[in-house]
Amino acid sequence: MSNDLLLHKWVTEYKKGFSKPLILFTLAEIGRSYAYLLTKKILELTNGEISIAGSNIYPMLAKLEEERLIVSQPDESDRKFYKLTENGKEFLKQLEKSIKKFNEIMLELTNKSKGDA
Amino acid sequence: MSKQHALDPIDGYIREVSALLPYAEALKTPVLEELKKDVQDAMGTEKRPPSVVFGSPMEVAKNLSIAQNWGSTPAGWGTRFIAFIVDIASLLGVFALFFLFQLILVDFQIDEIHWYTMRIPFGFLFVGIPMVIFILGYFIIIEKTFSTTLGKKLLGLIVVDESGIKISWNQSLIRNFTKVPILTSFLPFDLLFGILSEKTRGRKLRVLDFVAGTKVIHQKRSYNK
Repeated sequence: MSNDLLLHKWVTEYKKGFSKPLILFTLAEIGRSYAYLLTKKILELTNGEISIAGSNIYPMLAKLEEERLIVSQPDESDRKFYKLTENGKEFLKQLEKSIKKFNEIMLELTNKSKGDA
Repeated sequence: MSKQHALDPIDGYIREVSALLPYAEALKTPVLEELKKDVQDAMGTEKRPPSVVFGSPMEVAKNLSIAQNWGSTPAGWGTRFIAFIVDIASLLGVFALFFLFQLILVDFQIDEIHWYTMRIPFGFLFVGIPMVIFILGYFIIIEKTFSTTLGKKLLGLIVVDESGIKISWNQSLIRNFTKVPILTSFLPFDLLFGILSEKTRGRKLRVLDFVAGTKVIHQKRSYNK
C-alpha cells in the first residue's frame, strides 16, 4: 500500500473517531436538529472536511441518546429533533477540556518530531 | 425495477430498505417515515439515484436496525428447541401427505408417463422429486424467504443477520447445513459447541450461526421508542 493510500486510511479512521464529539459540538452550536440537517451542518462547520454519510448518523444518535447526552422530540410535523440534555452540556464541557489537552500533547509531539527530523 | 419505482425513486428506495427489515409494519412505519423525510431532504434537486446519494438500501437497513436495537433479544435454547420440534412435526405431516398421494397414484394404477422415448415413473416425478426438494430446502428456502419457519413463527421468532436485517441465501445455506437430513447427525455438535464456546454462549448462537453471521431473535411487534 502506498503512503498516500495509507494516510487516507489513517485520516478516515481518526475522523471517524471524532464523529460523536462532532455531533455534540454541532448540536451545541445550532441548538436542535433532525438527523439529515445535522450531517449537513457538520459538513458546513468543518469546512467540508468531515462528513457523516447518509444513514451512518442513526446508530450514533441512538447511542448518544442511550448515553443520555442528547434527547429526541418530535416537532409539529412529527419530525424527530435532537438536542443536548443538561447532562450532555455538562459532558461537553469536560470533553472540550480533554480534547484541548489531547491537541496540546499532539501538537507538542509533532513539533518535537519536526525538530528531530 | 417496477413502474412505480421509476415514477417515484424515493418510495421505491424506501420499499427496498423495508424489504430488508423482517419486522412488523407497526414497528417499521414510523422509522421509515422519518427516513423518507431525510432522504427527500438529501435528494433535493439531485439527479442521481437515492442509493448513490444516501447509501445502498442494505447499508441503510443495517444502520436503522442497529439504531433501533431491533435485533437485540436473542431467543433462548428452550424456545428454539420447541420451534424445531414443531417444524419437524410439520415436515412429517407433509411427508405423510406425499405418501398418501403416492398411494392414490398406485390405487388408480397411474404408474408412469411417457416423454419422448422415456418412461418416467409418476411417483418419481410428482412425489420423489418434490419430497427431496422439500426435505433439502425447507429450512433454507423458508428462512431466506420469510425470515422464519412455521415453528419459529408460532413462537414469535425470526432469523436475522448480525446487524438485524434479512439473511442472504448464503447465510441461510450455511446456518441450515446441519438441518439437511443426511447431515442432521452433526446438529447436536453444532448446538453443543455453540452452548459451550465462550464466543457464542452469551449470544445464544449455534456454531453455524456464528459462521454464517446470523442469529435467532424474538420479534418485537410494536414501536416503543
